Amino acid sequence: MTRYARAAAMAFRAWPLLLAAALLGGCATTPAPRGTGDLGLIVQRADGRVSLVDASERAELAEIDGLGDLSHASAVFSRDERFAYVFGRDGALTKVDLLRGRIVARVQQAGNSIGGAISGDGRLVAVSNYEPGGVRVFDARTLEPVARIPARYGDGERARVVGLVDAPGERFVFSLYEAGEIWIADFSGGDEPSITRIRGVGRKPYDGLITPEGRYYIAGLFGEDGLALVDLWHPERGAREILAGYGRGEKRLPVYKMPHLEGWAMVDDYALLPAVGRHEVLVVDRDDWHEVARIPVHGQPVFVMAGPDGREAWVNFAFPRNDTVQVIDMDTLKVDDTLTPGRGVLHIAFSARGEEVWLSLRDDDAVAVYDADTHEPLARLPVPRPSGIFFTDRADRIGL
Amino acid sequence: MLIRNSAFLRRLRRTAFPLLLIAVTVPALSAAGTPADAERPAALRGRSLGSIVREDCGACHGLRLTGGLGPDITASALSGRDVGALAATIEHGRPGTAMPPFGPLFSPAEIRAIARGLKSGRYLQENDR
Repeated sequence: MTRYARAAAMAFRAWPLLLAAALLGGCATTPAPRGTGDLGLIVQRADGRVSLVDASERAELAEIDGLGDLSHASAVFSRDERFAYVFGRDGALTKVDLLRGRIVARVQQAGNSIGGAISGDGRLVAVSNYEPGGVRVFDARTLEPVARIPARYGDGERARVVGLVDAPGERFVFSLYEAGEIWIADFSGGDEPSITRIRGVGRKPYDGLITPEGRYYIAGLFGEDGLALVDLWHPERGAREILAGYGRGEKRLPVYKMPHLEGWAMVDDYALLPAVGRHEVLVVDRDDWHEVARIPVHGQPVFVMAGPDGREAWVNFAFPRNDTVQVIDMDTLKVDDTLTPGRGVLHIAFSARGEEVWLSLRDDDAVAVYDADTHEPLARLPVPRPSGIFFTDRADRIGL
Repeated sequence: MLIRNSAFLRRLRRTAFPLLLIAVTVPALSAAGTPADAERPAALRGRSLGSIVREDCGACHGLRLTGGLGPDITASALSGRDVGALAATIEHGRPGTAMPPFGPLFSPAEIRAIARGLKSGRYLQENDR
């Protein structure tokens, strides 16, 4: 990164620490207390660091160091939006105090991890692990271990766990990549979960999402063209495949980056989903889950994110077409704008009310802020190799 | 595991041999065989192979190459593999897994350089762009 960017980051870093020191010391110049509803974290994937940002100021308040290998790192928030739980690739789970800008608890809980979730009551944090394959659950307050769920299948081998989300009723739902299964772990009865196992959901589920009202869990399939759908009101009915054979026999392109599924792109009657190995966004009707449209786009979609008003959805693309973002008009279901914000667009995040879109530009060491309405750039923050952007409003959303 | 390995070895024998031929018959590919930077997708322009390996291979193998959806590809994990076999995997991918072919993006010389770089462990010691 440039010297300028580093200097700017340093300048921003100093003040909240002073603020925290002043608060703790109770000194005469105690600044006004602040809320956390306008804060967010940006993962600096290469440096094991997260940036604490103020969304309205569009400024970095602090950098928090020492989080380990943050490739593919993600975060969830405590219900009071004071604490973030960061899930690192190296199996570490780190609890960060946003007000004090520092780590308050950290546990090395597995060898290789891919994400996590927090229960609806805020009591439990679950981590999905590749190595050893399974889910571990921790007390959100202390990070003391609560439960282990080894993802055993077949002759006792362990599958890698992907697509872990929280669901209403103190449940966690996740998929087993090698096993082609979806499991529901129900913690409503206490610390010993009851597990519902749904077998044969399709080949190689690679990620999952839960719809915003918490009823449907959808796993994307890498091993076939289609997605697995579970109605969490009726898990006894098992999974059904939707958009089966959406590739219609055409050969897939090489997949250089797996798409991500998140419950953002649910708009009115439609759900927007990335196609695997195709330059297409798939649109399904949420009433009966039939295909409505296939929207041709610039590359293989990674994230498809709709704003909270549902007017438009922003899409980024897999390597090597990751310098472009397209905007889909939800009225016409067509691409209505193509932007080239910078190199290595890894993540898209709307501000809580949706007036701004933040984009992480990994290979430009920057986060760009765009006007969601005009698609004009508003600001650019220097952040070394940014990836995930997480605002605290996620705390109140099911599955995020 | 054994079955998968032997199928993989059979495939390697098919793919590694023509690759070796290319390497032998077109010497000094390093300059001539590399597509001009301007002809590359923007995502590759001006970036070192190490950066591409860490950041983009790292999407599946992890930024520190210790594995994720893809296996561990640190130098110690690859100690039993020779450069030609590795290069063949990079070029053609591994059908039936999530490993895609990188032949469409890189020249054979670059792919061999990546294979050698992985074996040497140098990508984890560097931090260039």
